[in-house]
Amino acid sequence: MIRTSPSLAVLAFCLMATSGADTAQAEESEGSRFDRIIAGKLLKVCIWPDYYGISYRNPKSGLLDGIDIDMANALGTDIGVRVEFVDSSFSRLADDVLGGRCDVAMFAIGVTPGRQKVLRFTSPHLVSDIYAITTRSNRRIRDWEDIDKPGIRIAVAKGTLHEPVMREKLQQASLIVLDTPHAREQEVESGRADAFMTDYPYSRRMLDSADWARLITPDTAYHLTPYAYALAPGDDRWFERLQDFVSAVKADGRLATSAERHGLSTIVQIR
Amino acid sequence: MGRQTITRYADLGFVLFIVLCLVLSVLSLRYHRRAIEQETINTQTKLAELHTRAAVEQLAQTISTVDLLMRSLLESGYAERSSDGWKATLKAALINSPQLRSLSLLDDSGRVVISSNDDDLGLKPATAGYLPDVAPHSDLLRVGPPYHGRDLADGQEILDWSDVQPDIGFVPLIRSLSMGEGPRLSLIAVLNVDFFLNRLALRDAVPMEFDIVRYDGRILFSTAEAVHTAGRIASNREIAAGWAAGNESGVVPSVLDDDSALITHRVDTRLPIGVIAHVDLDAAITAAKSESRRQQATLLPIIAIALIAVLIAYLMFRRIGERQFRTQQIELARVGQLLDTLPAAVLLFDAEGRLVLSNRTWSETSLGDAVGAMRAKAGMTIEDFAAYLSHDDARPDGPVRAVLNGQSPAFDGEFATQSSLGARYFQLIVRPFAFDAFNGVTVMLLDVTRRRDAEQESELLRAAVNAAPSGIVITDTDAHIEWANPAFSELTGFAFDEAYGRKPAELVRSGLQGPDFYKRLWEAIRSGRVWRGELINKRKDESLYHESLTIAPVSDERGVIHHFVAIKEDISERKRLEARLIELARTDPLTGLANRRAFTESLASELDRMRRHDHPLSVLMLDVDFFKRVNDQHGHAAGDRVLKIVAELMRNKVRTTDALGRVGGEEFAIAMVETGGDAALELAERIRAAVADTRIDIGGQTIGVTISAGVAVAHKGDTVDGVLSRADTALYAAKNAGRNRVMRADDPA
Repeated sequence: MIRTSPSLAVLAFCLMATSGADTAQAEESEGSRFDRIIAGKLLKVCIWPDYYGISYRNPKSGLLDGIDIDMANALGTDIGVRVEFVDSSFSRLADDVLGGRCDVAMFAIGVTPGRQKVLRFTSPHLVSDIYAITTRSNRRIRDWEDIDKPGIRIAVAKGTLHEPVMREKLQQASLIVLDTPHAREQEVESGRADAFMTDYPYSRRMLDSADWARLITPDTAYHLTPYAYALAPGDDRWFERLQDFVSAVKADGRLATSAERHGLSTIVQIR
Repeated sequence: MGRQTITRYADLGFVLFIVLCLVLSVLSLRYHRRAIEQETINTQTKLAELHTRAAVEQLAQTISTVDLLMRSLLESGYAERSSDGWKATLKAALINSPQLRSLSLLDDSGRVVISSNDDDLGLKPATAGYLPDVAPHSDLLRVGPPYHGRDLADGQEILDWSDVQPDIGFVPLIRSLSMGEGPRLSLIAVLNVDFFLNRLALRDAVPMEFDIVRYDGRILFSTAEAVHTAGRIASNREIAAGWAAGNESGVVPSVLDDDSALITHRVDTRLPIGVIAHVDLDAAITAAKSESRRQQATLLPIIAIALIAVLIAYLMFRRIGERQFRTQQIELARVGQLLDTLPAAVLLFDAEGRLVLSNRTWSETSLGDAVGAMRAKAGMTIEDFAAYLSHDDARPDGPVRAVLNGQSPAFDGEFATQSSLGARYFQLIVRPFAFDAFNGVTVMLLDVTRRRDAEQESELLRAAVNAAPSGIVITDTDAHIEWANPAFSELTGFAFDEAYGRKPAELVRSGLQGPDFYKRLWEAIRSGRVWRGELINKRKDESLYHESLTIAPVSDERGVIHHFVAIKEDISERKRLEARLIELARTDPLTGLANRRAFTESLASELDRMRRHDHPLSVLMLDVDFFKRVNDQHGHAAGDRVLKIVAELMRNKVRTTDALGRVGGEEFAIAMVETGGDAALELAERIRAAVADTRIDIGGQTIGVTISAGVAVAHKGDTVDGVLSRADTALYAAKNAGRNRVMRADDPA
């Protein structure tokens, strides 16, 4: 893979040469991020280290683990550079990517219209519905339809794709938007909120780690969100290179293998 | 005990065994089931107690932490903290405190002045009904009543748990602090009961419902999802009353339910809060029951299969055993049939020494008769049998037992028994007898009485034969000597050792008998006849002897001769005596001449010869003249002497072929063969002259005698008397003519 990267670079260069004038102008002024990565032999990847199964820093060992950690390392290998992980979160995502703290954000970022306005996404490699986590002893919420009832308080983390979705979906229940993902767990466990909304990978983590957690799944598809890698808009060469990478890992089975290893086979997007 | 009876007992025993197995199985399964149930109840009770204890500890620890938090908040922020500072402090205190919903600061009047939850601001929550029931501003942590709702703002006190089951609830905790003369501050913490319910929900190893009950018996919250029954509420109050009375923990049977429900309870040592767990053992017992049923479902078929297998095995063994038994019986019957044909009595004793088989000969022997009574008695033993036999007062039971026990390989012996027919003798042949699985001993009894008698007889005969004076020789058909008695050796000089294997012909044949003799002998004895005869044999020292020999052929029942018995007698002496007697009978003892009878016999035979051969024969008669005178004058001795001398003169004058005899007192006769009348006259004249010329000395004096003679010539028709009579007539004519002369008789015309 490393051996093929110069030819890919040539290809990217040709593509760039024939692309639109405005992007070409932007790249001309700054040069492609890809070139800088190659030149610096370093790929900086933004992750959210609390994202279980995606990009999770095991608190016991300090080591990172997850499907997107695997993918980031695979990307580094493919283009022949070292990978450096940069801690980020959904709320800081745009700032970190656009601010250049990392070359790409690889932590299963839900492709939402709001984010698409500021960020560029590769083809999705995962797709997740929305799930609710409540407590075992919660007697108010037993099924999905119990969520949107008067007096029910639903927590979401600020900056997550769930915030806008739930704001739109909830009619009778009240929505609590919290600064951190951790805070919504606290609110639910303490009983100040009845449930919080999350995605498939995070719900796995809750069930695996919290005894009190109970998963409420939608009866039918509630709101499917594709997950992809985010990068700064523009920079077609870098984007294409990432797209190539995504296609490659889908095609050669690396994505499927990693998904299976992290219990995400049900939401992986191979096509 | 018969085979059938044994089999029946075995069957009965086996059926009893199966039934016993079944009963034991059922009993043990029942015991096992009860044990499992009891074990389950015990385990579940113990677990329930542990869960209860753990729940109390968790509750107490959590509330103590809250107490500590509240106290530190109050102490640290007592005076100086601003309103905003308080709020931030309270909010911060909630982080990582999921047991708390909110924290609110009450002012002296009990109104919420600062709260983590803005909704609670300005509220004046009821502070009555808290435990411990001390002054409102005491600095003890006081536990409020249960509330339905999320927080103070929407909270409603739960007064009757039989009426309501809150979907969300809390318990307020109040802690106050008064510092000197300053205003008292109180913090009210809204305890998140879900925090506990979540954790209690994990304690699902035992089906139990936890009621968290205040010291006064009021339920604070419960894992029960249904409304509480009045009975349960009363029960809780009773237990809480017990806490106050000192029974701070324990297990009590539930008064509400059946005996499968029980209550474990425990109150905290410091806080006025306890846990009453209503344990439902139904499910556990049901599970135990179904487990034991499942085990039974597994075990019963196994037991059944095992028993069936045992049954089948038993039946198979029984069948094999019966088959073997039958085979053995058949074999024994065959053996019995075979044994019946034996001339010996055969008894078969089993390993215990009991009679199992006897043959016909046994029944028919005299011993069998003697043991007849015993035979009728089933199971005659070796000892019973042996009691009838003895040998020098020893009984055979010991040796028979020894063979039976394998201490000796075999035993043979002779024993006697007394029967009505006298003493009988038996030879005992004892051998071990193994036949399939049967181990025993065979005793064979041979009636040897006859043999013994025969032996005795034979002994006598042998003694007799050995003592016999006649030599007795037994040879085979080729005349090789097989046996000879001592008399034979005495007779022939050959010891038996020398004679053995040799033929008598090689030893004693003298050659004096011709081949014809022996040929006739062999013809006679080979044809089976007894041959008797006399012959002359030769001793070892070459001397000859006369032998009277009798040879008897000995043949078997088919008439085939296998031996010859020869009886030899030495008859030499008898022969000699016989010859002497014959001679004495024919001779005149005085003169040694033939007497009248011998002479007439000789004359008769000469007459026969004359007639056969047609040669002449003359007869001369002589008589001493005046012999009476000699006797009278000189005595009989002188007369005898005269006769002897005259006889001697006559014998000197005749030929050896002529017969000479004294035919009367002083009368002699001569038969002259092949002699005619003239020659006879001449001889007579020579005799007369010789006598006349002879002087005879008698006692010192000599006398002379004369003789007169008559001659007759025999002719073919003559008889002895005829010719003698004519000669006699001629003699008398000579006498009449003056004596001392010879006269010739006229020849018959």
